[in-house]
Amino acid sequence: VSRPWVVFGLWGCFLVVLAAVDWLIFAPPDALQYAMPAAAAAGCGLLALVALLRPRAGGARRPERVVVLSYATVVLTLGLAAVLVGFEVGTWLCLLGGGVALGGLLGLVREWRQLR
Amino acid sequence: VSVAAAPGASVQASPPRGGLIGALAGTDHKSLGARIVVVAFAFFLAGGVLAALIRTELLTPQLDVVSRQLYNALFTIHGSTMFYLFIVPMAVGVGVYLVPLQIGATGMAWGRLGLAGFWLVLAAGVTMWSGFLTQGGAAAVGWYGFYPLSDVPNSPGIGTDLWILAILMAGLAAIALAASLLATVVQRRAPGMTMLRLPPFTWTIIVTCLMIVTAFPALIVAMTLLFIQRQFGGPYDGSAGPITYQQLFWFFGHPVVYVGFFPFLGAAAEAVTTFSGKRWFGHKPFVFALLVFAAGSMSVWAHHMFTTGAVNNRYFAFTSTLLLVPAGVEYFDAAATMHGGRIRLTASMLFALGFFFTFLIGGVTGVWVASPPLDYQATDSYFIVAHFHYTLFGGGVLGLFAGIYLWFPKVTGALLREGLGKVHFWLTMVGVNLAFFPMFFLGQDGMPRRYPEYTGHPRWQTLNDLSSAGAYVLALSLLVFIANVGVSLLVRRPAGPDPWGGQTLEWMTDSPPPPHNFDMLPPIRSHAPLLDRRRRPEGAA
Repeated sequence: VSRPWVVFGLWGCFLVVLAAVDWLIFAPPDALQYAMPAAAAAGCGLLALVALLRPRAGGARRPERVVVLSYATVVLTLGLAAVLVGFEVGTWLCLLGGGVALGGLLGLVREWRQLR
Repeated sequence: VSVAAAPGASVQASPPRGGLIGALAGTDHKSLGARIVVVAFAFFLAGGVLAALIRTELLTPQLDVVSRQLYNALFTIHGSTMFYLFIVPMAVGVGVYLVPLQIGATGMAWGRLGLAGFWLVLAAGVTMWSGFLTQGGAAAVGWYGFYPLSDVPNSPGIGTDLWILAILMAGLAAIALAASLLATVVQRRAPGMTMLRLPPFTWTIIVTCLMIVTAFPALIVAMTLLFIQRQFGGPYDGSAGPITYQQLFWFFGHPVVYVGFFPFLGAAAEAVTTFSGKRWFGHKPFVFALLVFAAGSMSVWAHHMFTTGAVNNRYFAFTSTLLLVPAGVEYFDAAATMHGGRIRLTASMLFALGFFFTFLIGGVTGVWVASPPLDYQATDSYFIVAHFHYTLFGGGVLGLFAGIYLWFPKVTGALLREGLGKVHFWLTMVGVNLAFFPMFFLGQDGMPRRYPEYTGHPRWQTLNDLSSAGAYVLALSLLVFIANVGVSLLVRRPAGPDPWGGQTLEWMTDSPPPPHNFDMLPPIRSHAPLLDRRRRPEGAA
């Protein structure tokens, strides 16, 4: 367990073993009973893959620009929350939230271009 | 956009802003973590007010404070607030603040995702609590909203829909924050900080985040389908619908208990190790036990469904009982760390000891209800309420306070008053045991949970009154804590970088830490680099 991808992979293996024990020995009545841990294990496998492909930044890092303020993120998040609540409250809020979220998305694009 | 970068490697486009602007849109992990913790604590207090109302109603056997409908809404929003808006955001919020510091990082990866998580928590809270303002009132379906109780014919009104949407937001928030933390551990560890050199607290956050990103999607699916069901019908139609909902819900619903436990186990472990003056005993077995514990706790969810007859009880009894082994390893590690140490009984250490004691009662009664025949007897009774409050209050809140008393000086630069802290601790211990222990007897005697009246059972009143008195003592203990925070911030006693003789990297930097976290880092040779440094100074032969 010296590297993150090993940790994620190992944990996924634990889940696979438990799902397999359930499936093979206890014969569950509902496929969800082993399908959900298996799906979680697959998610772990994906995490392990991401960790393997994007390892830790090395000791001698290039100068790195990081975002310390992001209004666009706030606008996008609140816009999406408004869209969600709009499903219950009414189409008007969905549209309003959608517009706000779009503004946030454009702001994120602008941030991304500034960072490059 | 305002950008800055790591020391020695940074390009700062404009300096970070604090104040309102920073509170709105700042991605610095320290301010973000502090904001999440403060918001989660505010929700804890709000949920506590609802608990006080519930306990006041139960002082007498008659219904005399609230209506039945409002009582149902009270326990629903109490439970939902405590799970979705307090314990989960608090668990990841503490991690957001501390993990980058403990791993020697200059900041958090994917800061914007973390920022989105914070705002989603706020939006979820506003959405959920706004149900009280609607015509039909807030959701009244319990914190797990079982179908078909949560279907439109049984629970009409917008409050339930708002509750579902709020849970969707809270679930997404947790996933966003957990993903940011995992990315931070993967990408931002300081040179020399291998995975096995990560401190106990960071490890508990890693397993917590793993559980969140793998279990919470089931909650998202369950709630999305429930919302569709309420609007259009379909997903849960048919005889299998209620069981499908429960499978999906509890696949999230059991791991979330451990999400509210592991980070505070980590906090208690850091308190034990700091105030015993020894490094954490058996670090590698502890890490392995944590991973096994977390995987096991993803495989026990259907013990909540023993009485449905629709799951394989033998398997889930087996896995639930198996959890004793890794739990035992953790208790052994804590005891062995204290053994032979120079123990300082600070408020933080007292809360850590209280954590291990109280969670033990929750754990032992967990073994009880992991046995299907015993669970048949206890299910839906106050025994279960007692069990999970010992687990969550013992495993969550006491560990949280161990962490708060330990790290408050790091976050604010001021020491909390130890005397008030000890008063807070003893009031909490009295309150917890007075509030929750009588519930075991109530449950054994057959009192069902969620009932506001018990007129046919006058002998339950004494136990209920004791329990309510405990709830009021807990409220008093929280007032003492708030007073302690207020006094300590107003009349500051400077903490300095390392007031306790800490062992992990966060104690290397100023209190509060500067924007870039560290000016320098020591060589990292173990999970306790500052202890190594004290015992083997750099340059020493």
